Amino acid sequence: MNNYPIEELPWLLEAPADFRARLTTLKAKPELLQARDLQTLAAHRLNEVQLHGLSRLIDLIAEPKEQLQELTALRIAMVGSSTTQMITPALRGACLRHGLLLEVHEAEFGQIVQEAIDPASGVSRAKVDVVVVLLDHSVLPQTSPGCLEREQAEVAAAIRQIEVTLRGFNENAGAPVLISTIPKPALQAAGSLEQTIPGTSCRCLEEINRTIRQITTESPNYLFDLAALAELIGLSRWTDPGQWFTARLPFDQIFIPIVTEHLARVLGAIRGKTKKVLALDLDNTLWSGVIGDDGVEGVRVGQGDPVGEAHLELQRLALRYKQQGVILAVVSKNDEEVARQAFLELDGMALGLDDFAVFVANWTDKVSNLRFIAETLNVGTDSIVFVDDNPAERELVRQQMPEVSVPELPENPAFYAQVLSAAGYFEAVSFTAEDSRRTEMYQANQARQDALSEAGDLDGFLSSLEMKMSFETVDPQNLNRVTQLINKTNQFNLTTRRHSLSDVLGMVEDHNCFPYQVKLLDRFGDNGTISVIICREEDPGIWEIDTWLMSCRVLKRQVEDAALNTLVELAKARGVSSLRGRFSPTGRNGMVSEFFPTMGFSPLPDEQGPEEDSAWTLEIAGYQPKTHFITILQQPS
Amino acid sequence: MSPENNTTKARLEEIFHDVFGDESIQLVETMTAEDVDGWDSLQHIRLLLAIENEFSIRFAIGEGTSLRNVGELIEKIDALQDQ
Repeated sequence: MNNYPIEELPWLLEAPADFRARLTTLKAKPELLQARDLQTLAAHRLNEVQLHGLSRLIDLIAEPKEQLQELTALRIAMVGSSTTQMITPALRGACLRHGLLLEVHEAEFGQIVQEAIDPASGVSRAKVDVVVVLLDHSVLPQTSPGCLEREQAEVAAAIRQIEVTLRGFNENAGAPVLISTIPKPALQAAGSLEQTIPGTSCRCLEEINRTIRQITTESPNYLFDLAALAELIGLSRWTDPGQWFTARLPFDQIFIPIVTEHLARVLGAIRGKTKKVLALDLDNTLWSGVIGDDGVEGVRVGQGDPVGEAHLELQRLALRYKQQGVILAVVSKNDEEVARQAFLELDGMALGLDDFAVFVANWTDKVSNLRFIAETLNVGTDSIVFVDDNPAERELVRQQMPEVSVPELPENPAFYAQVLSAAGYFEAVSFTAEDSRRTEMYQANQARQDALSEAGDLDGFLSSLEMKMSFETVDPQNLNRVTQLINKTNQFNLTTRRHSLSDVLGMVEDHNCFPYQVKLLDRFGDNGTISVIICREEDPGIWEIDTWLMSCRVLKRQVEDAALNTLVELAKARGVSSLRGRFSPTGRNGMVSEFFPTMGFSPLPDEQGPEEDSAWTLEIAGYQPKTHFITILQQPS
Repeated sequence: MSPENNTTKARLEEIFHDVFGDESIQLVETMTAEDVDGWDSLQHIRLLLAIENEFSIRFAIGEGTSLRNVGELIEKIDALQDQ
């Protein structure tokens, strides 16, 4: 029997027994409330009432909620074919888990198309970042089974309506849509034949869902696969007919915690909150037993032994994540030699040494080791997921690094992989070819660092890298990668303005906008697109830098120097006399606080932006090109 | 009033506090939706779902929405628990 059903959020800690009292304490002094207080409570298995309580706490804080600055604000509209109001407060609570401060504009239910196509509708005017559309089978007319033509006509009509809805929201609300698929009903009158008879709602929904999945991969819109979640839980439990008849609740409300968690995850992914690194313990996590004590003969992993298979399953899941672009790391209390030897000598392992970008096996505490891993990979500690069978290690990391995600692992290793998968830490909104190559790129980074210590001096090192850059206008073919960088780059990012895929597409088409992407190749490999620079010509002759960001894996490689040279040349060719830039501190982009002065920009009195921002200008006429070791392969004419 | 009734009432009062986010609510048997701020149809459903959870009972269809006041709600909860 599965004692860890997904709807109970088994990767989270039980709600504290004094949850109610803690809520009351926080409520008494809302002016002292910090993001961390809310996030600590949200990190537990909470029911609807408890999540709702967190949502009320948010409302007690006076606008503009400066004390919650660490959270990323996101404004959405909720539109549904049935009641969505029941889930909205819980969704705000669940969003805290994913670092989001959610504001919701709620539309009346059953008004999807009207809200979408009317430029004056509530949603169109609500100025939201994302429109969430939740569908259920009530969008499908009652069809009579047996007629293929009828089925095709009904399905085509439903799909047309979905397309009109998406386009309507994209154009009128100016926002991407996060649209759900439609769970199948539990009533399946034809039994085994249900999916073979034309016109049954199961068959129609199958077709409509397939189309929704397809449309969202090809458009600026996003997918929320509610049908897949309903199947994970089980269709016979998904709906409570009583709740449907009484209040048009499209699924049993005991599933509010898991539904809102899944929705919050996708919203988090849209805002770049996806975790990047999976740091794995070894003994009793990737295999059963202690390699240092039991030796290669004593530990169990692999086929042919049930316990060994359970641990193998976790390895396979980690490998799947790696193929999706997650970076794997080892963090283990072991002698490094012994731990590495295990990967070479153990039979039946799915993971090999090559799969890890960083391998840390020593006797130092795991908190320091996780910090080391973050530094080596140039990522924030908040993008790490730490998996360890030892509750004491988990507790230590939770206490000292609350920003690290630490899944609860069940006692029974048979469920390790299921629970980690259910936690959904690596939920992404798009998949790009570069994702599957990320570990390779980070390993090349490691090789470059080794080359640095060999080369001795920095100039010798940089020239030995044989770097080649291409500076290109953003290509509509590469929008996914560019949008991904815009939404997830936190550190080397001057303005941290997030733009959706449709925004970026708009920029490509806008004659006053100059969006560029920078790619870098070197002796160790292709780094792919690593920098995005977007300029706008709002006043003639002046380019305003809307965005300048760079992936941290190419830090200190003079990429920004070469890029500025090229940018100045391009601007000059278009008769531009100066570049203007702005630095907006976020608490995470401290590494570029001195970017503009270092690059030769002069301060500009700034009357428009927020107080903590600074504005800068660079005169094209007197620009002295920077020296660097990068060959420019390509640049726009 | 029986002691059992009292217990149900006390537990129900906690549910009201959680669902309405208001610890000042004091239940009396004659109380109706009009006496509590924000007790609309949506909150009523939340209330019924929270009661089902807390007391491990299930209201039959229509049962939860036809109750006239808090007293009847308590009687219904007790009746369902006895089953």
